[in-house]
Amino acid sequence: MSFDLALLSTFAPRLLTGLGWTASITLVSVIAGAFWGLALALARRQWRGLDLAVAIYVAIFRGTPLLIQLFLLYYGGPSLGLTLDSTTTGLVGLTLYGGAYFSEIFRAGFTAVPAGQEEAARSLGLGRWLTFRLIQLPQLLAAVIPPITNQSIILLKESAVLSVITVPELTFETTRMVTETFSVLEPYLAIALLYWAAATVVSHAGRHAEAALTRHMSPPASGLISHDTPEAISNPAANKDEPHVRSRAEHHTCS
Amino acid sequence: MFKSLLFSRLCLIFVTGAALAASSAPPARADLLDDIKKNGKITIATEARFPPFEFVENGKIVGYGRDMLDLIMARMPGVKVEQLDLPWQGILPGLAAKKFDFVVTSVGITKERADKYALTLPIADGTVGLLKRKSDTAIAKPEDIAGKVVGTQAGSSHLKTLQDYDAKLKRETGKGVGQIKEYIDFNEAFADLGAGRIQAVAHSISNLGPLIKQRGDTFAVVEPPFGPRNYFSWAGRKEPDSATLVQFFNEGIAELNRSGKMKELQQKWFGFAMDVPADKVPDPVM
Amino acid sequence: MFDFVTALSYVDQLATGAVTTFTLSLAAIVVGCPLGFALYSAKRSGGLLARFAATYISFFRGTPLLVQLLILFYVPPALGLPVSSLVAAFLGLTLNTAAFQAEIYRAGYQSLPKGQAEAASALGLSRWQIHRLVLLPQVLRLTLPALTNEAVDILKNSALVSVIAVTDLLRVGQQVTAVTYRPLEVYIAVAALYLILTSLIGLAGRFAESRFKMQDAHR
Repeated sequence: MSFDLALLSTFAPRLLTGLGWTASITLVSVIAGAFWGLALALARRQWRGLDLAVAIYVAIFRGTPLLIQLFLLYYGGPSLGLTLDSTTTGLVGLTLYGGAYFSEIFRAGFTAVPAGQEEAARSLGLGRWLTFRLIQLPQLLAAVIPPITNQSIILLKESAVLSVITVPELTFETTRMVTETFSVLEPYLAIALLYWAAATVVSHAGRHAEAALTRHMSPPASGLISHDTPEAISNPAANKDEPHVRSRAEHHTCS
Repeated sequence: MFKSLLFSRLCLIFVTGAALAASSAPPARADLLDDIKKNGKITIATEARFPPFEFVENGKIVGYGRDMLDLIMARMPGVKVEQLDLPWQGILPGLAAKKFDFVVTSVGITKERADKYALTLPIADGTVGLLKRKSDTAIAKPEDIAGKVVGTQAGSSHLKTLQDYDAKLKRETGKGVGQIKEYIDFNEAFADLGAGRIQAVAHSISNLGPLIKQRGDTFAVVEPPFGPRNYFSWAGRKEPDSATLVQFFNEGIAELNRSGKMKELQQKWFGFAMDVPADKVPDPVM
Repeated sequence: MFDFVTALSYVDQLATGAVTTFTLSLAAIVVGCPLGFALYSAKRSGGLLARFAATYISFFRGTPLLVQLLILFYVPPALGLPVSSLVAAFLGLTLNTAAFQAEIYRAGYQSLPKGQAEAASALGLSRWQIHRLVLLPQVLRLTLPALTNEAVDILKNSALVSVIAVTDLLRVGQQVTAVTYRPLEVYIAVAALYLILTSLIGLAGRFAESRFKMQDAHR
């Protein structure tokens, strides 16, 4: 086994096409998953009856591997009359999976805004919409952007699993390169580098979004805006006396 | 800062790569077969999702290939077989990367493989044909897959056969296969054929016969096979230190072939016997 | 239409796979714990060691576990290191979780008020004593929910080890579908087993949390 750069340049166009697929799939499923997650979190708040149903949904989608979920959707779906093509299955699968995590992020985010603020705003004569738009939304966004960034990076990496249902994304193209060249070193190092670079881009984008959203907020609200400053940890989502440490899903930077 | 970060990572990766390349001189190993006998263990790679050649029953790898392996390994008493089950796509590259000593899984003979690996005497017929849904009347002969979606395994000789056939169809009729879908393993292609996402699966007729026995209600074979007559082999490395091990397996396969034991096993696993050359590795047909 | 009887007749095989999945994940989580602490300490130490730790953490968190496993499986033999499938899988999961755990511990330590260490130091406690008696118990308690989630993630992600020839729960499921041609039923059974395993981890985590809370109440 020796390292062959020429091999990489030969396959570069295909790997980059794969990377394009990976990027598009991640983007679409992050956006769709965030909306789905928001819908789930809102439904849970509005209708108590849905609380248990959403909780079960979240437990199932967070408690089983994405790979199995995709297998079930793709190979099991047709026997239930649901035949989606591989790319659609991948997007739907990632959205449903990501939605479970996003809904938890939003649920925590809602509790980031103390109820007293809403009461105060209302007593000052602001309508419901304005209260939400001017008081609650900016703080909610500030609270959810870091964990959403982290979850986006996780979805970027998890999208590699779509290769098993024949979606021609980066990992799929790399597997083809491996079977055609019988080499493992160059393809796998190249793909590691590409994912790493992509994750770094998402991480930086997240920080930019965060900076833009919190520019007007001073001083930094409850320390949840930055990943790296020492105060960054206390999570207002948890009980006041119970500081909470973010997990893989909630805390993921890539610096 | 972002750029410099990326750049330093790039450097890191390539330095690692270069270091690996520099240190990847073949280890001083005299003879693999001697080592295997000395250590009392041989590591073999198998894709155990390829019935009836190799598959898992009650937690054990069984099948035509396994039976042959057992008979051949009886000639090397005291050596334990460690048989790894992994996806096809990792098997030949893993052999080159020295993850295993030998590959006992159905390796279709192609020119690229014969150039890179030491393929053994053939173990079975590997000619490629088509599987379709029984209810699908639109496909009666191989040419009918023009414009249709056909599935097969990623990185397989079947894929190569299908691509060659696609090129031939385009050349002769101007219309090739609609789309070729590549799966990690054949079972997923069968599932997708059943689900209706694809219209046919290109697979070797040796596998299709037994499949039809089990799933004749759902699937049917399209006659005749569209691929050129081809064979399955096992594979070792081409490096000189592997030569005696490959020789050992070649002798074992030849013996099983001449004694008629191979045909007996074919009857047991496939329900029919095949004509398999016993004297030399056939030239690649693709 | 559904034929769960077929899937259920393979329950022995599936259970064996589940045991492999569980043991492998548990070993990775446990060994990853001291490694994670070491990485966290290295990242704090400054200098070259900190740069290494930061790059390590970034790499293992920024690339798919699948790719990490493939590299660990295929690359060592090129360097003359024989690494078996099981060892490569264990190493991959452990090195991966160590990076995530390092960040969890960092967050845990950062959430402790600085005054505590200062107060303990004023009371005459040594640095080691401060760490062992004052900081560590709190960090463990604070990070428990995050660690539970991490354990669940590792167990789920261990479904990828089948690509490097470990016969885990997922691979057994695939082997069974190859014989039964019943993907739906078999994968539902496999998903249910994963759900049981991850729920067990969740329950264990919650149990440990409640024990910590009881200790607090007794104080």
